[in-house]
Order: sequence, then C-alpha cells, then structure tokens
Amino acid sequence: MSGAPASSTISAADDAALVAQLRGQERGAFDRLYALHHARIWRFLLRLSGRRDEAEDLFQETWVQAARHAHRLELGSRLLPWLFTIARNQHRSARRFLLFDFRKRENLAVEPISGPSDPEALLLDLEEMRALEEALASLGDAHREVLLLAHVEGMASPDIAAVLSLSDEAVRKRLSRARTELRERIEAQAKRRPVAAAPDERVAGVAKLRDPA
Amino acid sequence: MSSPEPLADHALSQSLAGLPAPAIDGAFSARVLRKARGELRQPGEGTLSIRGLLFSWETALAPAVVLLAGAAYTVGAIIQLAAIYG
Repeated sequence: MSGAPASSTISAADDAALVAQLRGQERGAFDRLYALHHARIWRFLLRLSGRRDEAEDLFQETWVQAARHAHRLELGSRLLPWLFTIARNQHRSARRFLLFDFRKRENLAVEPISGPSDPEALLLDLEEMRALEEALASLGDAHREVLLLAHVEGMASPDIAAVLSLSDEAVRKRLSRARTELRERIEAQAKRRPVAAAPDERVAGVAKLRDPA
Repeated sequence: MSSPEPLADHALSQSLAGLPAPAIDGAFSARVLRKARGELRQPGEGTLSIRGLLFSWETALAPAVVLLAGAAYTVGAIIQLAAIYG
C-alpha cells in the first residue's frame, strides 16, 4: 500500500480551484474530482461496510449524490471531507434500512476484507495484518469509521469532526475509545489462538499494540 | 492527530496505515463514473424547491414549469374577473 495518504496531499488551493469549477459546471471538473478521490472513497466504504457487494452499491450511490450536489458546493468547501461525509451517510442509511429487512439482516455481520496480492502488502506481517483486519471488522460502526478516517486515511482531527458531525474534542475521545477497544479485540483474538500467536515472532507487532505504554 | 500519541497508539496507527488497499475493479469504476456523469446538472438546468414542504425537484424544464404555472394562474384570474364583471 502507499501508506496512509495525508489529506494534506491535496492543497486547499487545489480544492478551491476544483470547487469553483464544479460550481461553474465546467466540463471535466467532476472527472477530475473522481480521479483524485475515488480510490480512497472505495477503500473507506469497503472497510466500513466489510462487504464488497454492499460497498459497490454504496460507492455508486456516493458518486451519484456527489454529482447531483456538486454545483451547490459552497466556496471554501473541502472536497475530501465532503465526499467522506456523503459516503458515511450512505452507509448509515443503508444500515438503518437493513435493520428492517429481515431477509438481509443476517448479512450485517462484517467480514474481514482480504487484500489484493499487493507486493508491498506482502512485506507486512501476515499474522499481524489478519489479526488487525479481524479486530477492525469486529468493531461497531462508530469506532471503525473514526479509526479508518484517522489512521487509514490520515485525516486531521478537524476534518474528521466535519465528517462525523462531532466536535474536535468528541473526535479525540471517540478515537481514544476506539483504539482501546481495538487493542482489547486484538488481545482477545491472541488469547483464543495461543499456540499460533504467542511464541511466534510474527505477532510481535500485535503484541506491541496489546501493551499500551 | 495534532497531539503526541503514546507509543502503543503510534504502533496501532502504523499498523492500520499499513493495511493493504483492496483495489477497485476498473470496469466497475468506469461504470460508476458514467452513471454519476449522467446526474450532473447541466448549465441552464433549474431547480424547483419549496423548502418548507420538504419538496425539491430538479429538472431542466424548471423555467418552463414556472412559466406555465404563471400563465395558468393568469388565465384563471382573467376567467374569474370575467365571471364577476362580464
């Protein structure tokens, strides 16, 4: 993976120019928006929903909504937080709807996403990665989304606050609780797999996570 | 995050950042973009909105709809006035 892309890689000036083009319904502006951000929105939705089929629906609806409302963007809008907000709202709506659909309710359980055969991924410790994936997938939506935004997407606290409609302070608290819960889940998993996990050097990374300094 | 993180948080952050990014299918991505493009508002396209009634309707025919509504109202008023004074 190319690491956590910082939300600052696209400057506020770039955002401002693109916002102006989208407001002016300039030809090609939406394509540029899509090219810049679609990979991150896809990754976020895939990990948030935990299911490829559901993520595909949410991804499509996210971009349809973005297209419908692009001309109404306010000057000074930050595009990535705006897109993450749409994506998150789509996910929340889908979850609410599914709660009333008894046929699909059993599918709410999140499955760990298996990554592609990314050469960089192979460098990572497979056991650690698997433990982390499972623990992340087992979290509730609120904790999973804040961890994804902060640590996978590398977003700054004010941007996360905008996406989640929370105060900066509330984001920090939620993030702290989410990290604690994630560590506890990883620890619980390691206890369930003592033979495979404990003596193996490959889980050294996870052991670090289990031991808050 | 702006505040310094404890060591364990830093390790956790690094591990999460190191998760591989599942790739999107190229054909699917192209389909999504095509569909989204179709939803873009075209220059000159209007919006009818009555916010208090939670009603919003986006259509390229918005100016025509407003004109028709105005014309119908005028014709109605003329008929009423004709009935009264005619």
